[in-house]
Amino acid sequence: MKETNDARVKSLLKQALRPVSPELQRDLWPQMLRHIDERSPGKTVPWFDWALLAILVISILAFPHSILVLLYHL
Amino acid sequence: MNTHRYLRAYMAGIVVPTIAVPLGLVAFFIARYGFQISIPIERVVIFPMALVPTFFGLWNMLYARLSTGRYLPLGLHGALLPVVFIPLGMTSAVAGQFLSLGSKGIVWFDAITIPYTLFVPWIAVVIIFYYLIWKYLVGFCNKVLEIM
Repeated sequence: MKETNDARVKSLLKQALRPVSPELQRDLWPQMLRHIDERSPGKTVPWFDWALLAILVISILAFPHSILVLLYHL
Repeated sequence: MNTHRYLRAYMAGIVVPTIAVPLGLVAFFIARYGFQISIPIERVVIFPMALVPTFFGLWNMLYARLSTGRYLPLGLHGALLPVVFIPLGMTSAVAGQFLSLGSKGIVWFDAITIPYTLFVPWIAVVIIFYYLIWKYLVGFCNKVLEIM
């Protein structure tokens, strides 16, 4: 009697719950990275990149014609 | 969004040059008609219009492939692109007859001379330009399309 009940409960549970797939439906890593990124304090541009930008601007100002050559490569 | 990763990477890659091409065309028109620099626009635009966006897309697909393991940051990956682009662009320019080697330097569009002494710094500037574009602009597109 008890075994019959167990089998019935098991069958009811199987019907009520969706089958769980062992495989992930989507890649969670990008979401995790974004979450970490959002939590990181002060998303600032590093000084090194500002220095590179300054070099770029100074070069363009010193040789304005070179803009065309730069644009040709973009 | 985990399907068609390489297609998304391609699309994220071509955004920046696709936006830049019309702006570049405007600059070339201004140079030609405003400053009377005799630029053969119809030959010049072939490389920026046909090859650059495609290469950006393919380069970003390569990044999407390689970045699954340990790999360079996106900015440095983009900074490697001029290694391919500069020889390709110069070859295309020579074929289009708007680049020649003068006595003082490389002459672009029969008007702009880059002295030989400044050739290496000029390459460095192009690499910096690409580094910043890839790190910030292509990087932004990659984040939007969840490539990285």
